[in-house]
Amino acid sequence: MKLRLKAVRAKSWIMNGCCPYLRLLIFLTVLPLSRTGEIYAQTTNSFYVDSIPNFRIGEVTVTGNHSDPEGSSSTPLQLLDKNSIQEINSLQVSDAVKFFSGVTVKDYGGLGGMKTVSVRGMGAQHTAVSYDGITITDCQTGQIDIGRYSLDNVDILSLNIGDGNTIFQPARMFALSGLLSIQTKYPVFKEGECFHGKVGLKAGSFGMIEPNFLLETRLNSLFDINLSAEALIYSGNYPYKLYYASDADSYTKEIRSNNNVKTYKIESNLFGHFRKGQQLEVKTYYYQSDRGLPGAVILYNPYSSEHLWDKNAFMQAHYEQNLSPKMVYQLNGKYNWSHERYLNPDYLGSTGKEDYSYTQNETYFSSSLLYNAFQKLSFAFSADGFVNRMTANLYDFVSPSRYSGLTNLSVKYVNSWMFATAGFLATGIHEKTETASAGADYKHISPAFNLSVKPFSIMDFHVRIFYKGSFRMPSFNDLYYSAIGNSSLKPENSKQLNFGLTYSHSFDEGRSQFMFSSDVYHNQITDRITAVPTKNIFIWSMMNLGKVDIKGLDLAFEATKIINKDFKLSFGLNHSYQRALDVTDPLSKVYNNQIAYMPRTSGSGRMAVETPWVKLAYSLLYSGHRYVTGQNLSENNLPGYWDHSVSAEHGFIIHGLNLNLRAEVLNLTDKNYEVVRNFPMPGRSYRFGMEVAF
Amino acid sequence: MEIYHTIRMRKLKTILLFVPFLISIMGLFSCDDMESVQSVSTTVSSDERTGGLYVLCEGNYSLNNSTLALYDFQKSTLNKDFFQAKNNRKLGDTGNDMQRYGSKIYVVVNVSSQIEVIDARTGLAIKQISMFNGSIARQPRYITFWEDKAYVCSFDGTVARIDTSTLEVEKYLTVGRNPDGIAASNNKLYVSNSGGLDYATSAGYDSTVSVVDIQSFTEVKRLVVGLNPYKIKADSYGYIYVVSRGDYKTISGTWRCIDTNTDRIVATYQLDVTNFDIYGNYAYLYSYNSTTKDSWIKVFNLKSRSIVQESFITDGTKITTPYGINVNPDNGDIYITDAGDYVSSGDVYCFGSNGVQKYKVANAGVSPNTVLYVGDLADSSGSSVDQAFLDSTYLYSVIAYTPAPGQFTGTYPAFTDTDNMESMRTKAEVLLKGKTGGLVTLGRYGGCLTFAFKKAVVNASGYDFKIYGNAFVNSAEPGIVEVSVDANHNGLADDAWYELAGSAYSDASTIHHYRICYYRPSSPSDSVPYSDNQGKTGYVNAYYPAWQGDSIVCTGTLLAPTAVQNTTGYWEETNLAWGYADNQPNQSDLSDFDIDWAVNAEGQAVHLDSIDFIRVYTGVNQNAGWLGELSTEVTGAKKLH
Repeated sequence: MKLRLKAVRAKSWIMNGCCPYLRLLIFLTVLPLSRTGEIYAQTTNSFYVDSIPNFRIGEVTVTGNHSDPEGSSSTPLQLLDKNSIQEINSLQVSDAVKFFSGVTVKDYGGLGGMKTVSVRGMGAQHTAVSYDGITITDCQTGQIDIGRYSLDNVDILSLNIGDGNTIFQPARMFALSGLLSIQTKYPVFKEGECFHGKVGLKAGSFGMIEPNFLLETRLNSLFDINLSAEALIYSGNYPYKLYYASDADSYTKEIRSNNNVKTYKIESNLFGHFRKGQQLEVKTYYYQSDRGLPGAVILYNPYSSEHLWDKNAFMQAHYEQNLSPKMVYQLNGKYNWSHERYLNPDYLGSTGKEDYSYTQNETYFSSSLLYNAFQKLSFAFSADGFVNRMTANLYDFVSPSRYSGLTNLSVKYVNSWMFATAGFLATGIHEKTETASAGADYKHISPAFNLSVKPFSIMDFHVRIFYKGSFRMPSFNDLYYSAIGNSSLKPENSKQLNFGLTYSHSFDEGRSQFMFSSDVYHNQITDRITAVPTKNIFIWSMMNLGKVDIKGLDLAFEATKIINKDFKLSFGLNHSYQRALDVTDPLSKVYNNQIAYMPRTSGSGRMAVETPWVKLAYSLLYSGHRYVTGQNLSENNLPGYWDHSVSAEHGFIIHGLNLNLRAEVLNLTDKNYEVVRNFPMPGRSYRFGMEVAF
Repeated sequence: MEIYHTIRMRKLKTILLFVPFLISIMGLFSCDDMESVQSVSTTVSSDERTGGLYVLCEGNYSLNNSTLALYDFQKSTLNKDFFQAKNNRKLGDTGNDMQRYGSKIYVVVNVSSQIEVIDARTGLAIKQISMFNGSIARQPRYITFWEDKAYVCSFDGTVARIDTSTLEVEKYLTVGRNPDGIAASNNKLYVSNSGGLDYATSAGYDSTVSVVDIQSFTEVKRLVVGLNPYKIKADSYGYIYVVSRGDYKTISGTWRCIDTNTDRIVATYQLDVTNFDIYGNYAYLYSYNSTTKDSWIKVFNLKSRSIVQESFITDGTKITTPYGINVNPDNGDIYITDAGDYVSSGDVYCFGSNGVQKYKVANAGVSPNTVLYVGDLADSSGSSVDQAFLDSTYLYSVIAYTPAPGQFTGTYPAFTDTDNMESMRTKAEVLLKGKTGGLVTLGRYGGCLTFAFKKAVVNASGYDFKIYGNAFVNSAEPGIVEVSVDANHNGLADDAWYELAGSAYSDASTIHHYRICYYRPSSPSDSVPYSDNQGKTGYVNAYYPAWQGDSIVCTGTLLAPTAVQNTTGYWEETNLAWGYADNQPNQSDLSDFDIDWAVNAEGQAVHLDSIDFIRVYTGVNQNAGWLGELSTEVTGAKKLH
């Protein structure tokens, strides 16, 4: 298997040989979830040297030979590193996330469409998304649109279901059922190098242009800084077939309109490394987008004119310091501001249009302490406090504020064959509104237990089990949105139980490796927040009615084979089986029906061949059929799909600059399949990219 | 040895490499065992042998899954997407209203912003009328009819006038905000302006009903009713009833009665009515509270203007979410639909007027909102057994169609410049042959339809044949029925005619041997001059049947005028006891005829063993104010044995 880059941070004292065998120690199973320092020096047998000279040590849990983060993780963990991301022909984070197993991405088509990720049938609001170590929140909808994050500078994308192996992280990272972590590239300088960067340009079908650049500078021995910017322009006017009947011959060819996108992003990170065990990261980020919303394709009514503007600015900082050989603490803080404007210029109400502006802001602060009591036992305590506020120009909007306090206490025990953690997250939430009644205060303690056992020391075979109870708060929309909100909503509860096996093996002196994992799980969601049309068919309300019982199986397999220094093969395959049944009311027509938009089976695959002349990759996404409503009737059936893509890439060196050229063909079979009914996906499209690294 | 061992190890390792790979491939093909749920729809046991129930289901917003389902009584099958099966395209998104007018059914598809006009008998689409203002969808909601025009109200605040022959929109009129209901009565339209799209703004709901004069197509008055007006329907006494839904929070719903003569609100009821339908003397109301999930269904008497039944359903049938409520005017059955959770498919319940469930059509579609019985459904299977049955049981041929002047003469069936006597006879035959439900108007006194069954009608004991019309209580236009035997066996109806003496035959006010002559006016829309053998001359209302000669002579028995004006000024077309066509409801045996009633020209009873020809002519010569002239309508005929 690929020797994945573990997000390892090293201090320069390691480089200088202060700790010689640490330099050799590279088989670190690092969790990319956190960038904090939790160092374990293990005296086990052999370790492999990674070729990366400058690296960070994250929270390291070394558990033995040939272990890799996914295999030894006590909860299902899937990683995609930079190379794998290239192989799956993805532009945005949402494209890459589709390749994880156990994941359903609701994709509304085109580059501008909203994309949310739901893990194991629990719903998008149960999945946390973090960007470089701090979670992103959207209290308005409770869902994160992962379509807006590009993969340009992403170093590792990982999905952890349940708590991971890390305990030394902000309390909010423990708060939801799963965590999708986006980690960007950390600047790595060669000896004597002062700065470097890259400039790239992508162009593709349907009027897509995406220029980007990245500059990384070593300011002095203490500070590095990077600056990246990108823009995406897209017309989105792809052709699709509009079917009028179930008969495959009854269609017309249409063009998707009002689907244009203009987004800009600029980001800067400051990295400070001071004395031993002391570091600082400060991030500044600004994002802006302007999108047409094409809406569902409604038969005989082809017009759409809705528009959405988004602005998002945030600043986050991370500081950590060793207090003593046994204690480390970290501080995290974030201020986030976002603004959204929605326009429907053809509204038939008396104002003639709907022109709504929403502003949210968040102030977040977290402090965590790690105490390595003994060599095998450690404790971590985190406390987070944050305030979320929202205002809007809606009539009679209550302008809610939510005050949240989270504290987490975890304990971890590690030895050469076992890894166990137990944690308790205490949550306290208080809401305030300017008018009307606020949601009720909420207090809860959510437990989580993880265990991973390696029964045979000679085999990289692990057995794992975890249990986690968690919840998600109703969003501000759920509670307060005009006539639809219901301020007496309770949070949705989730319980997860997972049992898994992993096996990895490498031979041929590390030239061939594979990893296999399989997990069976049982999740339960209660008090599910569902929209019900009360009042009249246009005004729906949110209610806590719903119980979902989810049982499933996730399988993952990866293999790589290095034939020689010029030729390499890699292969990956994921498959999920999920039974997510509505068990709310035995008398109802949807009882024991699969919930809407959940396929019974889905999966992904990728294959890549590296040769001296070109690197070819093929990727595949497939989904079984689904039902568009909770009632599994054949007329509600949305057929499954297969989405194949191929790419070819080659790097040259010209005048000392690294030039990389890439060509991709997406959706080879040119089928306008639908992930969400009446939102056709683009057919076959092309993308070309050029990048110069200096 | 060592090398051999290494090779063996390598092979083993290679195999080990592939085992998990194979397992994962096997896992890959772990079957997708998710199968569609079979939705059960009951076999309906009903005494209707022919015809069917159209059920319009809204579907879910933006899923393009609105459907028009058809339950065919003859085949006992439910076709959930009958419209798509017939027209090879889907209905669209959110079918909101469905009404029949003449031979066509109009379906208002709200989100797709179209009106689908389909042939009632076959379900084939005739025309799709787009309701757009440039690129902005008007979002049509409800439809009503008056004379030869259809009127559709749309959320964009307009009422569209559509001609029912050309199916083109002629004109738009702007009324109040977000109209969500329209009714026609007394030459006026009444439009409920809900203002519903302002529910989240400071403007809030509207609370008015616009009164539109049909002739000028302008708004003449705006009445203030309760907040958020919705369903609006006309009764047959000149009153309009309208629901006001309140604001779903603090202001509860009310129900009001408007007098169409004065255009004033004459009564306000503190009833939180959600939806209702009117038939004859009764209104059937229901109320559904979405928060508590409670509902009630009550019966309201339109003459006494009071609730006469606090709980309509008498047999304990439980309806979770009442949604659509429609009365079948042919037989008085009441259909109530259950929308359930608005996401899974809903059911249609049929109740008799006694509140006892007759049958249920389960899983008709998502949110069924309108149920329409169509008696003259075409038999698409064309199986020879059924066709033979229809041929021998129902009206087989129209021998002559000679209507008198009338407001619908030349409309039902429609006359065009290329038509003549023979082609009009053919049109009448197409409407009536082998089925019921097609409508042929006879015009005022003396207008006549002569027809035959495939074989002679034998005079057995009891009733021998039925003539279908469109009568119900206080809505009768009696036609006198005569029979004839083909004595000369020439197949032509040139033999003696005998009147079937009905209940009014021997009344003192009945005139025998009446004769009237109508003269063609100079232009088709002019009043028609007449003279009769009672010494009267004058004019009657248009239209003269353009395909006939310059004068029409009608002779026969003249019944005394049957329509009376009641104290409110509204006309009641009273029913005679028995023995006349278009006089009593079709489901009653009072619309049946016995050949034993035959009398000769002197009024003496004659005994006929069997008869070959039948003719019906309008028996009264009367105008009922704004209702126009009384004119017998025939919608079919059937042998009873």
